[in-house]
Amino acid sequence: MTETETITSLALQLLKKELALPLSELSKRLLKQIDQLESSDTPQLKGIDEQDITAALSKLREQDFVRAISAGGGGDLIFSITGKGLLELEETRAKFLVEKLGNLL
Amino acid sequence: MGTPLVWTALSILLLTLFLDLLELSFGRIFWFVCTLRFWLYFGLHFGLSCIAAYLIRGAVSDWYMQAFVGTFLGVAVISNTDLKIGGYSLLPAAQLFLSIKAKMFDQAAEDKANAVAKAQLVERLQKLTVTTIESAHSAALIAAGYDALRIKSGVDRARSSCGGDDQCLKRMLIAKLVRVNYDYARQNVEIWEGPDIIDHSF
Repeated sequence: MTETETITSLALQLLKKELALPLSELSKRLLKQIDQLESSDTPQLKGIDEQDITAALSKLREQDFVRAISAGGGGDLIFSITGKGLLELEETRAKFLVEKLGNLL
Repeated sequence: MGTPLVWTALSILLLTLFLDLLELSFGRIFWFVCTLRFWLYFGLHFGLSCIAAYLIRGAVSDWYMQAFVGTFLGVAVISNTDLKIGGYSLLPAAQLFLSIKAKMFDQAAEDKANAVAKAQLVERLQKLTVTTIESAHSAALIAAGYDALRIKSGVDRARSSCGGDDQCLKRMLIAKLVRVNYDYARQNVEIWEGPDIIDHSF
């Protein structure tokens, strides 16, 4: 998995759990998760910052996997997962499981 | 003969309900349970698990094993696995389940995002002065078709019940403003805040 793929997957997983989160909260939680991952075996995630997360979220938005609304102009954007995003997440999970099971067998 | 059948069905019902609830976001389980889509999804999943249990009855004789295996076959089907039961592929059924599930999450996520946006808007409005809120309140209510005299008497009533407490008056006016004309408040909050605001959008 590349750096962006990992961030987008983590963002989708977090949004599936929380359904919707403001950008500031979403970035904070993702950075915390990434920090925890770094300590194990994901060196490609070193040096990830809020800008990388914003870029990954923009990509997810373009693909219609997440949607963003705001409480008026100038406010913090609120991100929520879409049905398409959920299906993508399930598909990625299924692929990952098949891959892992294949390796095990 | 009838008793094991009842126990099998009951076990499938409880196991299916447990697994379906486990899939949902914990903080919003109650919200999901109150939607028609959840019960539609659960009903179809339960029916599918019962059919799976019925089809494997020849291979598995114990009622509790039938319930267990039937339920997990149901889960495999709704997880988009190309599984064949009794020689028939259940992939089209899996697509239907996934579509219902996607719509269920979509609706829940949109609902929560709107609730968060509303809370953020109220927080921003609370930082404005009473005079700004009073004027915004009047404009929003007039735009929504309220009578000017009725608006004035409403503000007077709120002022007298708050007894000179500006924060209390602001809260009452904001509550009404957001309830009656949320879209207007959302579109104009930036103007009411003035020019010196930070742009967080991207």
